[in-house]
Amino acid sequence: MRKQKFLTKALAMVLASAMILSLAACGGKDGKDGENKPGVTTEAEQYGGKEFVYAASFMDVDYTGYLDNGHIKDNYYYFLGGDYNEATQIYTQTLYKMDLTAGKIAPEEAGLKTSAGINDTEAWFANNFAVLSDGSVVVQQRKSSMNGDELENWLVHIDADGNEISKKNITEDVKIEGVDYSYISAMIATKDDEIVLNDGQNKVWKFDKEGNLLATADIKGIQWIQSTGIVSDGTIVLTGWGEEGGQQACKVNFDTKSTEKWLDFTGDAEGLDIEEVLVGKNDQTYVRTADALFELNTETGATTEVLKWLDSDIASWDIRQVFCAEEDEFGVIMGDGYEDDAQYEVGILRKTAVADMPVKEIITLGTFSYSGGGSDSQKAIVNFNRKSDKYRVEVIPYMVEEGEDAWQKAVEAFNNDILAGTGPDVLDASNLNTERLTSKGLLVDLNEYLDKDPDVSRDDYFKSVLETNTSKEGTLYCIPNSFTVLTLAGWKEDVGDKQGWTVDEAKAVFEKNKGKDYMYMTDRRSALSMLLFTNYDQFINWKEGTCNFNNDDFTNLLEIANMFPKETPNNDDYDPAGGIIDHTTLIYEAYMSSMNEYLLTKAIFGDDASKFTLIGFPGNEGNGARISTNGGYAINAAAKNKDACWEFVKSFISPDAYKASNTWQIPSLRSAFDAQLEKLMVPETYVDENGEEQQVASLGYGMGNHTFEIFPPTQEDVDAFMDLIDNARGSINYDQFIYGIIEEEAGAFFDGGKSAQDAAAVIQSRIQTYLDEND
Amino acid sequence: MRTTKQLTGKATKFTKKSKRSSRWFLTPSFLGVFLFFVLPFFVVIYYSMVNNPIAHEFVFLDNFARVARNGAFQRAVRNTAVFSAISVPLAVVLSLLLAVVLNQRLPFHSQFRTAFLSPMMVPVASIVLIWQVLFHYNGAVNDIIVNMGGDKIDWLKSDKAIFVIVILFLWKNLGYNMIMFMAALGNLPTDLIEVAELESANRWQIFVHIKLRYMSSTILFVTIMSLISSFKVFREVYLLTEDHPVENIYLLQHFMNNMFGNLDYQKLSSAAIYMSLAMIVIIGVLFAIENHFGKDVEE
Repeated sequence: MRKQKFLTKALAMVLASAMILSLAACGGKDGKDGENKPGVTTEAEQYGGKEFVYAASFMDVDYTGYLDNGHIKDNYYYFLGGDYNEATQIYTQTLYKMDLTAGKIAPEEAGLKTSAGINDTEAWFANNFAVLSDGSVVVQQRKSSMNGDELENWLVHIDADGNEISKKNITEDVKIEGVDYSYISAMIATKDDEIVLNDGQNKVWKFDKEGNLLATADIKGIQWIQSTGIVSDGTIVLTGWGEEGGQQACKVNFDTKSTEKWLDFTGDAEGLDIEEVLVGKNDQTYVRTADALFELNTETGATTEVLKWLDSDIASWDIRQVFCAEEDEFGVIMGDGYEDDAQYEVGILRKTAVADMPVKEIITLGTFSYSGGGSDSQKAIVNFNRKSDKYRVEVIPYMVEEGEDAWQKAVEAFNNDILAGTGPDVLDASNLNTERLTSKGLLVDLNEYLDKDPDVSRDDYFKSVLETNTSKEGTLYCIPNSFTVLTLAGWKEDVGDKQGWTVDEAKAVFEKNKGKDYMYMTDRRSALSMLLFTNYDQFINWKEGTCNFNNDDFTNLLEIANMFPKETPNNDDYDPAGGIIDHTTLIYEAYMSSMNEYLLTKAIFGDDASKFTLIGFPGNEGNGARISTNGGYAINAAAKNKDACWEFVKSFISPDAYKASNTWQIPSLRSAFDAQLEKLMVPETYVDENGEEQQVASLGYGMGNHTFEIFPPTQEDVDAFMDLIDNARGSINYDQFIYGIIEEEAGAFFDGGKSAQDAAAVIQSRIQTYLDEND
Repeated sequence: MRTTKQLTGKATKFTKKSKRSSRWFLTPSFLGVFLFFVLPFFVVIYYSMVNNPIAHEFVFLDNFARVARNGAFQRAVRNTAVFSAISVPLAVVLSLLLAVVLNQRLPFHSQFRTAFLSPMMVPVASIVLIWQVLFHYNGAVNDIIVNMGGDKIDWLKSDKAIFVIVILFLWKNLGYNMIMFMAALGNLPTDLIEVAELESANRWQIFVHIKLRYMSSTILFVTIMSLISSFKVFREVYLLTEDHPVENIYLLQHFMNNMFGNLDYQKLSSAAIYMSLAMIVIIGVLFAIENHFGKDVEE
């Protein structure tokens, strides 16, 4: 009896302890010495706990300009450079080589020089080349007539001094049935100095160095060849997209005149896109992907990760070529763009124990993209890591699988980590439901940092961009790097000359223009999406948690969308401008991610600003234009060192970041946009055969049968575009649940099952429930 | 057979040893129940009393107050109560009637029994498909109505949706309840019924005063099971109308499911505790009623 009572009491104690223990907020990371110090990291936590990394040292290349199609031979990097002389209007190509072992890396001419001027009757253009064992070079050149009609392929063999040894027309040898001209996409030289070419899709050819055709092989089972390489046993390998899907690697068999499946890559590189195959100093084989370098077992196809580019402070988007320098040493040629003013550097990566690397505080960055982000994101990470002595950003990619539900799994994993308090310190905001996270206090309000930091100021950034990234509670959760302006445009005679229109006015215009194609390739559902995406917040009072879809404006929007066709025909020929030009299409959806796209819109409307109106999306406020932002970084409220996180976030939107960036997208930083405009507004001219000065188009856009030349903007263009941006509304944070409900119920109306009012009533009921939940 | 302890009043060495060893055998089960039932229960209570899982600030009953004030929760409670108030009594009464009828040994009674039981075996997703075909705006039921001269009804997206769900619930659950009642009817003491017949009691009197009294525990069981099933009807409603149906079929489990999806574990936990308390009260009341009416039967 006594024992029973004791056991009962013991059980009660255990249960009570469970309750009390669960109430206690214990936990936290221990530092190296066991103390719980926020922000301090340990050696073991560097580089994801690896034992070795490849530490890089960088050397600038004393060259600016176009650099492409490189090959490594011995310790030299050979590449084709290009330069256009505006005064003489002659484009010159030069083959360069640079000694990678030199203290200062500067290219020297390697013998080949071609030039083509506007007045030449024929032009020679070097597409590809290969370096032979004796240092001579075989170049694949394209010869074209002035009007571009006659195109020929030639193989030209030159010695190290640039003297031509032989030249052969191989146009007939590389001809493919049904194709007018075979574009050669890749060229390599074998150990026996044979030249192997492929067109990236159909065929592989083998020539000797004099240009005599030796063998051909058809490319089968694989398409969109990404890389051509030779492994240590001489096998020529192509990687690309398999016809049944997924990455494939094929070997070329000239005996059977066909490619054959080579290996199924397994292990660390399984399923990844292979960008390059290279051979090490001791005949190892390596494969390069967007994220990493892997060693390949050429018998089994097993791959093992050797290094990650970000660990070595290399932005993979910038890599032009990778080579094996020595045992446990790799070299990387990098360029920060493809323009005439691109800068280059060479990185030498040496295997180093993590214990010998400087210990920095880790800032984790969570991203949904496979390779840590786009070009600007990678550059931001790499530049920050190189410059900072105290901090280091390490990427945690959440999208680690492929397939239909990969995205959903990534979101679930991310949410679970955030709630468990183990989420990354900095978050890639491009795919987050930031409204939900800010409403739960899970993201840091950047307003405080923006107001206190002496290096940046609120006024430096476009107000509408900051508005777009501010939650309904007033939390500024991210400042994106760039943004896009969305609006609708129409001929003044159709839509009037005032920017902005109400829903009633829009409905009247659409009714008046029945019979016209309202918008290119836009059916009812797309029209509703377009109208609502930028507008549904006017039907929702987020602060009070109420909605009002039971009104005329909303039913009018449904009715406007219902005026569009139920379905649009498939059209392979993309030509949204055609209908505008011949006045059979009413509205053009202008998606302006740069100044040039504003100029394109103007060009579509006859290049005359007085003839068209940027009418905007129907609504009740402003000029109807909307700002859409993508990307940017948010800071996790659970981050241990928020100040360090801000330093990284700031580096992404600082003036230096924009200087290093090659994007032409509209920067969120006003001064960066001003600098962009300054460059854009510089006119380029040339003197024609009549001695008259003609302006050179900066850019050309092709749409269907139309080509639009874009010239540098005038001050009026700039003022009009700035006015559009300054008066645009910040775009609402797209809520997929709300939009899903509207789309579902509107579908019943579009199918003729319900009236617009009935559909609106159901939408009102369901969305009000949704809003009540989130109250 | 009485144990040694019951005979002598003392526990023998053997019984003491067997009790000790039985505790060890029970430990894994106890640990499992503790880990997967008891501990999560306390975790739910913990979550309901903190502001968020990151800050862990104790806010006592603030979350409960917030949930009680929440319009969606109030709507869900109201709808769930209405649904249960309609469907549970109907499920009990109709299944009892069916059991009584089928107990009469009518022709083809076993085929009828099979027909009523078969909905239990059909997977929920298949049932939902059938219901969508029947009650869709362009479905079979509306076709019949239109042919009879009426107007189409938006069954699933109007105030008529509650009827669709009630019919679905009854169709799914009548069979099981009917079997329970048929078993209970088969176990009634025939001698008492014969005596009552001899005493000139009519069938209604026999049914109410003898059969129902003897079936009180079964009625209690069926009522509780029907009540629990009425909460589980969320599955069918979710498949028919997804996360945010029209107002009158927005149930408590919709609210909790959506709170889970929104990562609002505080509201979810508080709502779950409210629901648990309500269930405890209801079941307690039911037990009390059964105790009152079934007391003499047990004696």
